Amino acid sequence: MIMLALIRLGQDAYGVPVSKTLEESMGREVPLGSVYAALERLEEKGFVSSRIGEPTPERGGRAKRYFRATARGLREVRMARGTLIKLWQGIPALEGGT
Amino acid sequence: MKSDRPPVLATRLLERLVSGPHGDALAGDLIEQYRQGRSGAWFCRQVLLAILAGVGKEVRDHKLLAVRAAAVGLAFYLLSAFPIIWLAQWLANEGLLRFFWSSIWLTYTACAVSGWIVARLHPAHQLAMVCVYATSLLLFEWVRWGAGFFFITRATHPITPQLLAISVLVLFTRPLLVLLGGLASALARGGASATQGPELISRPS
Repeated sequence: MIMLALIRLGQDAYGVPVSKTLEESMGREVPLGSVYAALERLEEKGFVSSRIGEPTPERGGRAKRYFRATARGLREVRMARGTLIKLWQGIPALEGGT
Repeated sequence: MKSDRPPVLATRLLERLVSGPHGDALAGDLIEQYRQGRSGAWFCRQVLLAILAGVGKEVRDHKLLAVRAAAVGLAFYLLSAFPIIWLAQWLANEGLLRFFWSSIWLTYTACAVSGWIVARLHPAHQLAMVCVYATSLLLFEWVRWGAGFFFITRATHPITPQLLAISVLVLFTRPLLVLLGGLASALARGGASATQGPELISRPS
C-alpha cells in the first residue's frame, strides 16, 4: 500500500502526504512513525530510494525526505498485482456467488 | 490560542529517542503537522507510536542482541537479590530501617540500575534493549508472582481486592523502574537526532 501511495504521489512523496494518502484510502489514521518504519524497510530492500529536500522553518529547520519507487520496486508492485489478480479469480464468495 | 511550540516533554523524547536514518525527517513532519493545526495530544500520540515503531524495528533487526539484553538484565536482577537481602538485614539489625521497607527500596534501586546497565551495554540500541529486558522481567515476575499467588498466598490468605491491587502494583513497578533507569541513560547520552535539538523547537520566520 505504501508503494502504491508513493507511485500515486510521484515527486511530492514525503511522510505527510504518504500518511494522508493512506489515511484517505484506508479510512483511519496511519501513524507517521509506522510509515517511516515501513519506508525504511522498503529502502533496505531496494524498492524505494530517498533524497533530502531543503530544511524549512515551518518544520523547525528540519529537511523533508522525499521518497520514490525504484525500478525494482515498480517491478515488485506489478508482480504483486498479478499475483493478487490470479488469487482473486475463481473465488465465488468474492464474486458475489454463494 | 494554541502555542506554536509542540509539547516540551514529547519534543524532548522525539529528539532523543526517535532514531534511524529518517528520524530527522519524521521529527520535521510531526512539527509541520502540529503547526498546521494538529493538537498537542495528537503530537504526543504520534511521538509515542514513533518510538514504539522504532523499538519494534530495532528488536526485529537485532534479535541476538535482544536475547543478550534480556539475559544480562535478568542475571543482574537475580544476582542482586543476595546483596539486597544482606544489606536489608544489616539495616534492620542496626535499627535504621525495617527489613520490609529496606528490601523494597533496594530492589527498586536494583531495577533502575539494571535498566541503566542494559542501556549502557547497548549504546546503539538503548531504548529497544531496555524495553526487551523490561518485558522479559514482567513475564518473569508474572510467572513467579502468579505461581506464588495461586499456590501459596491463596491457601493462607483470602483473595481481597486490596491484595490483588498490591500484587498488580508490585508486578508493574519493577519493569517500570527498569524502563526509567534505561530512559535516564538514553536521555543523558542523547539519541541519533540529539544534536539538532534546539532546531526542533525554533519558530517559523
